[in-house]
Amino acid sequence: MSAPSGSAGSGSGPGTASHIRNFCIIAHVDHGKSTLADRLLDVTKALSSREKRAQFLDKMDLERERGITIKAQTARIYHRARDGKDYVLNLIDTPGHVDFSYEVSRALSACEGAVLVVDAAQGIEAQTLANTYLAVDADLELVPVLNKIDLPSAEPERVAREIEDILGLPASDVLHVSAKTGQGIEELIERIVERVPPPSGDPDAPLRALIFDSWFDPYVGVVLLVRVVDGRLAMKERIKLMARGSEHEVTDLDLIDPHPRSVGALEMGEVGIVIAGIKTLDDVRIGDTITLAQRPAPEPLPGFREVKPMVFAGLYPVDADEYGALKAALEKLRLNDASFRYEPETSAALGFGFRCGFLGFLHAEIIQERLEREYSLNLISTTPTVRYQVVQNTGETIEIDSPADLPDATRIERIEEPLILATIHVPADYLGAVLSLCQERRGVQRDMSVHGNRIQVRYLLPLAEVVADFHDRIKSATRGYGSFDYELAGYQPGDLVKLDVLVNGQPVDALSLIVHRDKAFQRGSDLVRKLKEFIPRQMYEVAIQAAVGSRVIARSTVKALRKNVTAKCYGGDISRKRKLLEKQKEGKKRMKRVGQVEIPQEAFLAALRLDTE
Amino acid sequence: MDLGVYVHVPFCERICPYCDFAVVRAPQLAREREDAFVAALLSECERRLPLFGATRLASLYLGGGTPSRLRADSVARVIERVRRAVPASDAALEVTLEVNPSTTERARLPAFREAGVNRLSIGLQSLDDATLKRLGRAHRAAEGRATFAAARSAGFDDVSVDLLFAAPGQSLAALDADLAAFAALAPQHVSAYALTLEAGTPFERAAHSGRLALPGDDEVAEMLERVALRLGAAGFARYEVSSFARPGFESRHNRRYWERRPVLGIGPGAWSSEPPRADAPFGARRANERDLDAWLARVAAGGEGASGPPEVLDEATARGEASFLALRTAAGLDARRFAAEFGAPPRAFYADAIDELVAAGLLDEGCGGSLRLTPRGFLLSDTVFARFV
Repeated sequence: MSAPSGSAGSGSGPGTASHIRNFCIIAHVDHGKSTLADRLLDVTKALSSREKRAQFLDKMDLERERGITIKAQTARIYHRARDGKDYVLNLIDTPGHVDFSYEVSRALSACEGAVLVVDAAQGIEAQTLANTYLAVDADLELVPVLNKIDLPSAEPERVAREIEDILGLPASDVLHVSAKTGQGIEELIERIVERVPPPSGDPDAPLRALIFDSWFDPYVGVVLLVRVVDGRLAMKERIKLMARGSEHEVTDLDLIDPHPRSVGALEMGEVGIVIAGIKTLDDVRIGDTITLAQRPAPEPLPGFREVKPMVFAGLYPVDADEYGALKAALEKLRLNDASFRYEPETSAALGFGFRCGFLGFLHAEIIQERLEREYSLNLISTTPTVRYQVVQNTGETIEIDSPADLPDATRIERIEEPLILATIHVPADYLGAVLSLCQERRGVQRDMSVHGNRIQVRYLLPLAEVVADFHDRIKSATRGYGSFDYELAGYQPGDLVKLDVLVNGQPVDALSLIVHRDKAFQRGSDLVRKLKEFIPRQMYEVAIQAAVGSRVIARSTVKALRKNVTAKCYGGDISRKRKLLEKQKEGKKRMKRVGQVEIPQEAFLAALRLDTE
Repeated sequence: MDLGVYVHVPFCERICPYCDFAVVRAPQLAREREDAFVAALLSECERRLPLFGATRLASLYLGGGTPSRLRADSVARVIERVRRAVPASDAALEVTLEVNPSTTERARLPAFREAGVNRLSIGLQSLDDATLKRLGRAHRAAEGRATFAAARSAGFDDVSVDLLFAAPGQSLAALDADLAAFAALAPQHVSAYALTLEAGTPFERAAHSGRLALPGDDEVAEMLERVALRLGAAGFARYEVSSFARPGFESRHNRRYWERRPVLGIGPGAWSSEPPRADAPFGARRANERDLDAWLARVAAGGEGASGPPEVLDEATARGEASFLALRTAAGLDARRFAAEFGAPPRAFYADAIDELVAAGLLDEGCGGSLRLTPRGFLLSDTVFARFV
């Protein structure tokens, strides 16, 4: 076995791709996908290190200068197989979580095969299934693998049977590996060569290359990760992004070997990096097709779509002085995540902030967590909402993603809300808790199947019902043993109303919600109760109301402050009293004013965190 | 420039559980200890009086602690020393002594008068034994009455009494009874304070752990209203948030604080309000060492009793203080006087606050822009003041 040290590393030269295997690894979270990928890369690095060291070290500095960083675990693996031939295996990384199912689907369509990893102790989980379905949709050859075979708790026979039962893959076909010890890795590589078909594109057709990942590099701008499906892409060629319509000149082409290695061309079937002077990620769409400006392909590759944010929330700094820092942080995050959107938003209650759009609620959580952790921001988030379709009396349909944009009820014919199809895997003991949670969230059961002690249940649920805390609730209801995955499942009319919270008749914009009518009362009462707890008595009586349209459904009153007196004030007390008054004034400054009413930040925090109570 | 002098005497027979003043528990005050203390007072007085450049002594106030624990000859020495340093006319000079209602002190009242004290402030607090007990006071109502009567017998015709209310377990009815009893005594002046929980006091700790049954905010508000109403009906005009007096008997010394006039404070924990100087055009405030021994050591070492640098007031701070201190009084914030010091009437600085507070019924704005608290403003005075600092 030896790695080809030849020209472009494409082995048998242009035109043939019979030595190439493009594959990905799919797994449920924690089933060992990353460890397995590392192990596969270790094998190839170990094999090639001696021969490549000199060359490699020479190039290190150059690469540093050029500064291309590899974000994903995508890389080439060289392998001389038992048939005596040399192969190139391109491992293509896929995004790790459920909100990115479109990106996952694009990465999968850059492959011919997928290694399906199942934890030999845990068995099949929700994401195992979801990812398998995506792989099957993408027509991939599946190579099933049981990982963590070294664990004392591993039950390879049982889990292999599960794979046969649920996924229809013969148990006898399932490889046993341990990414940790390296057991079975050689066998796996052989199996990939054997089972995964080589690329089957047309080397002479006009170029079609699929963009399946991209990221921003501060030195070279946008880095595109592509799979050449048809044709060939060479340096200096002028390319066209078919969906965007923009044209760029190729300034660099690299194989990931496993560090970027410049090549003159990317041949049919290859996976590599394209750098073409693209400034921002916004100019690129995952799933877009690259073709040549001079000789464009008649049709782009199938499957492209514009990814739209599905979950929205206002993000505000708790401390107004952090607005600038928040803006800078959002700009930075967006450099590396074009799927996340934001625009300035002003709330009477919360001040200056941003309305942000996320692919899903986990995406929203991740972004918020990164903002708070990596940028040390203290944020307040409005209740996440989804994108509703509002059919008006005029017949016109508008899309809204903020309760503030909902037209007056009299002008609404109906409101349609997005649905998801949720797949939940749960040990039988916790099924009851999961079912009642789904029921409580307006879920409609689609089907249920039993696999030994584990049960898979699928529910159609309004996306709005899962955005806030569904995932956490599943986890806690099943003590962490339940797993959850979802896909979007279209729109459906719902009996939805706008719930407003008013203080002394003034709506508190940050607390408005679109909710199902059946839940409006409970939600309204909870909000009113929470606010009453946190709004201090002030000069005037404060009436807190929750209303649907003009109908008040819950109310409470904070009585007017009756006394606020410092008794004595002589001599030295003056300084002390002044400082107390200054403190009182500072406290007021930090409060938000809605009409005449001063509302402390904690009141909003508490009201907006009702969900997580 | 006239001057007020405040003398702090920290000794107390016992420490009240709500008190956070600079106090020292001294059930017996030995002659030598008292003499050393008085010597230190005189020494500090000597050193600091000239710095004030006063031409007339307007008031002398002996507070505490319990200044009546000093012997009459000690009090006489202090008064004599201050009077010798700054000229004063007998008629215009107010000399107040705070008196604790106990037997020993009662006997000394004629001698205090002899020493030059012309106004007494008696720490009655309540004329209800249950309330006194719950306040942790050493004396009972009978002793309070006896002390008051003794003050009159000794010839004091300007007597103030302290009324403390919102005590643990006190009902509105109990307060009513107290107010009637106070009015019946017919003092010249009443200082009426709702009990305040000061940080670090036993009462604060007890309240914090729920062991002190204090009246609720609304009840205290009613008590405040009741105090103003009853004392008003009994002929006492409220001339400041906590101060009620028959006409002509307002405390001249306390007024100085609300009008921001110079006061020299001597003794441990005493504060001085220094007059404006070139390097402090809006005056400065200075605190003496609070700890008795530390203060004694400083004075003995020939230094000043003050620890740390003075707090020099800048214009904005002075403006805020001028506003909220004047607003404490019934006379209110005089626009012309304010403009004379700060260049423009209050509205020029506080228009939004004034408009809102007037609209909320807490403040009255007179012609010319002078400001005064309304009756409700007196109840929410801190809400008003916070808009001016």
